[in-house]
Amino acid sequence: MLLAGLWLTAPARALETDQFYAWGKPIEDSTVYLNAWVQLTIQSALDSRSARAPQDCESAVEHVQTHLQHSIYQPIELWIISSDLVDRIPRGEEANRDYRSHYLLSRTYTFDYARWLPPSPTLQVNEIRFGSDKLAHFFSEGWWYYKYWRKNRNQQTSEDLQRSMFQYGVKLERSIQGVAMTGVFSPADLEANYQGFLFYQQLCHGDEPLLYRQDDRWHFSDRFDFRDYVYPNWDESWNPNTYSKRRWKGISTTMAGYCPELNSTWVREQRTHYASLDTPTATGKLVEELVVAGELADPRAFDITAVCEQPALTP
Amino acid sequence: MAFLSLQAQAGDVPADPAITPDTTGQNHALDQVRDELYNVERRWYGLMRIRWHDTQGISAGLGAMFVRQPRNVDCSTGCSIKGWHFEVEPGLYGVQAGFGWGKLVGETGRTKRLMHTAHFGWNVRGVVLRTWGDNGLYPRSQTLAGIEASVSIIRLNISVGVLRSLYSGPGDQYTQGWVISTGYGWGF
Repeated sequence: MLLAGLWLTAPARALETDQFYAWGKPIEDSTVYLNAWVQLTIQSALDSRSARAPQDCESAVEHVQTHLQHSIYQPIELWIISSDLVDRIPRGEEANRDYRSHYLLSRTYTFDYARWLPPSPTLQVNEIRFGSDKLAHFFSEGWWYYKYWRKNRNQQTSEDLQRSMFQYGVKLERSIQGVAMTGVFSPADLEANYQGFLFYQQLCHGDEPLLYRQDDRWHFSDRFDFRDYVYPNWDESWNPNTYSKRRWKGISTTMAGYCPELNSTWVREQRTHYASLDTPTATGKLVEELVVAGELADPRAFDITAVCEQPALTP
Repeated sequence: MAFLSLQAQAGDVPADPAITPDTTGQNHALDQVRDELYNVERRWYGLMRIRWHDTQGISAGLGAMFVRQPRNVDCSTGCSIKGWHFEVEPGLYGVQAGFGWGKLVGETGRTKRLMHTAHFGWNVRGVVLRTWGDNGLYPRSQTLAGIEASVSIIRLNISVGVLRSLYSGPGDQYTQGWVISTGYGWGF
C-alpha cells in the first residue's frame, strides 16, 4: 500500500523546471495574481466551514490546507498552467512544445520516465524567477514540514527539530520525488518547502497570525504576500541542482549551450540582482553540511559557471 | 534559528483584523482571478484509451467527459477536469460501453478538445460488455454488466472490473456468474 501510495503521489512532485530556457525572455510579474489566488482560495475555504466545525485556529488550518494541498497535482500549479492571467514561459501550446524539446531534461535516454512528466513553466514574482513546481512544494511539502513541526515541537530542541525537518525534505528529494525518479536533487525545492512551512506556521502562530477571528468567523489576512517567501534561491539557474551521472550527461550539454548567454547584459544584471538579495539560509547551510559530509555531490560542480568555466557570483 | 521563535506564540491568536493597506491594485487582481475561477461554462472533452484487456484482448476506446470549467481555462498544456463521462471500447473479442464519474489532469495539445495525454486520473464506471470470439468465457458470446474502476498515471492506465454475466440459456450452468477483469494500457 505504501509503495502504491508513493508511486501514485510521486510524479507531481518530481516535476522539473528550467529557468535557463527563460533567460532574456520577458515575463510579466505575477505577484498580485498569485496573492489573489491564495486570498480567494483560503477565504473561500474558511467561508465554507460548517458553523459546527471546531473553531480553534489549527482546525481552520487543517480545513484550509485541503484546498491548497492535494495528494497528486497541486491546485495552484494546475491553475497556473491553464490561467490566462499568470504570465509564464512557456505559454501556449506551440511554446510548450518547443520547451519540451529544448529544456534541460530534453536530452534523454531509453526509458526516461521523467520525460513523460510535463515540465513546469517559469514565472516571476518580485523580479525573481522560479518554476511553478516551487509553489507546489510550498503548499505541499511545506504542509508536511508543518505537520512534523506541530507533532514534535515539544519533544525536540529548536535546532534538532529544524534539522530533522530538513532531513525529511532531503529524504523526499532523494526518493522517487527526486533523484530516484528523475535523477535530480534540487536544493531550490528544499528552500520552497521551508518557506511553505513558514507560511503554514504563520497562519496561527507569531505576533500577527494570518488567520484572525471576526464576527465569529475566521478570516485570512490581506497581509499575505508571496514576496515575503520567494527568494533568488528558488531559481534553479541560480541555486543549482545536483544530477545523477546518467542525467548529467545530457544536462551538461544542454547547459553548455547557455554559456554565450551567461555574459549577456540581461543575465549579468539578473545574477547581480540575485547576488544582492541572496543571503545564506538555514536550508543552504544544511545542504553545505551534506556536501562536507560527502552525502551529497557539491551543487557548485553543476552550476552554469562551472560548466562554462567562469567565475561564480556569490552573495 | 529565527523561525522557531514563533513557537513562543503558539495558540495565541488575536481577534483583531489586519490593517488593510491601499489595495486598489490587489482588489483589481482579486476581481480578475475571481472571474477566472468562478465564471464557468459547460464544455466537453474527448477521452481515449488503448489497452490490453483480459476479456476483450486489444481494445481502443473513445468517449467524452462533460464538465463545468472556467471560461478562460486552456487545457492545451494541461488542466484538471472532473465530471460524468462515457466511453465505448471495441476490442478483438468484445465491445464495452461505460458511463461514470472521474477526474483527470491531462492535456489536449493542438486538438483543444481531445485529452490525449493523461497525467493523472481516476474514474469509476458502470459498464456493459458484449463478448465474442476466443475470450475464455462460456458461452463466448454473452453480455456482462458491472463496475469498473481505473487509474491513469503518467499516461499509463490500469483498470479492474467486476462484472456479472447476464446470460441465461442452454448450458448456463457452466457460465461463470462473476468475472473479474483487468486491463493495462494508455490513456483514460
